[in-house]
Amino acid sequence: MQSKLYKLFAPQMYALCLRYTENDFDAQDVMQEGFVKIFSSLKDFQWKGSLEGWMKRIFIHVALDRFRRKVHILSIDEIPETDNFSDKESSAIDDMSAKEILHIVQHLPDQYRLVFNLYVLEGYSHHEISQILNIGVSTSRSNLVRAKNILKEKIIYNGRWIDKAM
Amino acid sequence: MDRFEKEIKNKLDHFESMPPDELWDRIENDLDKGQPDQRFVWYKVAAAVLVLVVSVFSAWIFLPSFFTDSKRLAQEGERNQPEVFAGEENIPGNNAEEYTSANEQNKEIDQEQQKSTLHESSVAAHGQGDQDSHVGAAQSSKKDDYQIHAGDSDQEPVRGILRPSESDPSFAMLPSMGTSGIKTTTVDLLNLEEPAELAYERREVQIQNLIGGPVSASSNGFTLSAFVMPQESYRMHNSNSSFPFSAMESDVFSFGAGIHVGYALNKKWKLRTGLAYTRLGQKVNDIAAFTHPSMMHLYSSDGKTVADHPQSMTTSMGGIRFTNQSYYFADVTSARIFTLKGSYDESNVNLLNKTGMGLLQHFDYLEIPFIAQYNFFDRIFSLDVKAGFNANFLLSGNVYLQGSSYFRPVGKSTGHKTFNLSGSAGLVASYPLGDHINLEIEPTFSMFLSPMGKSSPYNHTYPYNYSLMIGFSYGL
Repeated sequence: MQSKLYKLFAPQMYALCLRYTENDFDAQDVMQEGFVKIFSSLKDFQWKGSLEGWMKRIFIHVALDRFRRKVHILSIDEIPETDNFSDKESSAIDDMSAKEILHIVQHLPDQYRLVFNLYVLEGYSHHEISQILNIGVSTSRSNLVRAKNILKEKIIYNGRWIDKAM
Repeated sequence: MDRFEKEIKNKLDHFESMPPDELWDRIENDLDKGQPDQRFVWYKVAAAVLVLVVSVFSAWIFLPSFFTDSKRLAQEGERNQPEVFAGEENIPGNNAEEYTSANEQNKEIDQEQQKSTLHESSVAAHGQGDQDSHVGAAQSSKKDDYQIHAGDSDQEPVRGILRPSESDPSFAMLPSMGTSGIKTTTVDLLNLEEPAELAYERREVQIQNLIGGPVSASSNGFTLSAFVMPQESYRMHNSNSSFPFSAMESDVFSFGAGIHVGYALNKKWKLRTGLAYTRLGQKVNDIAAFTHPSMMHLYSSDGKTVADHPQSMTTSMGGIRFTNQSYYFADVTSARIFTLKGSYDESNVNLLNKTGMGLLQHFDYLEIPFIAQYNFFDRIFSLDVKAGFNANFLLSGNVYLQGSSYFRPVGKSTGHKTFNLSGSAGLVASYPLGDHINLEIEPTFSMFLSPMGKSSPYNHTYPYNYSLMIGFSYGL
């Protein structure tokens, strides 16, 4: 049963782990720890929500726990978001594969990556993120803006690089 | 959420990535570390039950005096009331009547006058020259004598009272003494020295010894038995497999051993359980084994070292995975053996030295029986019929190469359930070797009630065995 469950959810959950980590090795560690926790507490799952959602939450918690041990999120002043994302840059996203975008996300600084994942991909509010990460709401907002700015720069740079190559 | 965020989310939301294969192995290892192997949980439960049972019965064996003395003291306490001995008419005589009656039914005992004489002599040796005067003295001083023994039961009797013991042959003869005087002495002994029911029980055993009746250790209470079990085992196989397994396989001889605990519900019925090790299996015929010539890579024509043995085969009792890479196996009459690497150089097989013929497929089981036993004959020896079921836990499934002068492990059987139930029936012949020990011989037939394998064709295979359990039982 465990093997079947693993095979069913591994690709999706591994992608999630990759988003929250810097490289494949860290992602595998999160994946390993997460599945062990899932199999150990599967008997406690109430079947009130979706199993997939429950598993995702476990992986996110495992990833956050890892970073809580090594990352001290700094409170930074709110900064304005750069407004250099045009239609041309938008098309650069279309031209990039998901793997390339993931690669850029993985190379965000840890604290920016966490907030970006939680807000953009998991749909948490800044208030929720501030509670999860034990930071201020404004810090969460600032981290998100920083993350987006870095991503935009890299995506635009990537687009220009593609243009040049073509 | 702005446009940028939406586009990134859309891009990553449905992205999936396959983790490396070895990641599952790591997870599985972690899970194994965290959770005890379910198979060993069963073993631990079985071991705990066994330890408990053995402990309880060890207490019965090694502490009989505790139970007996407690009972005796309690009864003596009840009797230690002055009014009981207020007069001779208060002396209990019912038991004496029972003993006398029982004695009259066994005339052989009456013929043991020599021992009676010894008893009388022993009475005289206590300073009573005349039997009648001894009886009179015993009767007249009964209360005093009892008080002496009740106060210090280890003391030798002062006068007139005999102290029966297991080693005293005259004890069994006491009821046979024909005179009323002696009978009165017997009453004193039984009432003052030993609870009546215990004395009666012991005496019954002694009478049975004299007349040649059985002293079945299983006739009363608990028994503990140990046995060895030579057996012939094979299987019933009823699948429509393309392989004619039955023509290429045969039964095999092996041994088992174990200990049982029995409890006699009454003279006829007895329940048994315990723990046994048993080996089932079969011989797989027409399999030839060859040794490797030096430095020849048998399974890889490209010359690369083979890291894992590539051969496996199918039998009616499961798959076999060959783990000994120093042998090459070939099926003489069929195609039961598969070589997973299909690139081995067949011409090299001709260079090999044939070293053995035939495999032995063994399955070692831990067996916990639950047996009911009914006695239908009880004379010099006793005969019981028995039936029940066994819980069988698979310990290992090794495969051996058998030659004329060797017996080597070459692989493992695969695809089996770790737990099976089997039914069991047979006869129990029991012969008394002593007061508590019986020799027991039990021809027994056992057969699995469910298939031993998980999947076809093994899920049509039911192992069975004929065994002769030989051992000793000890009545507790």
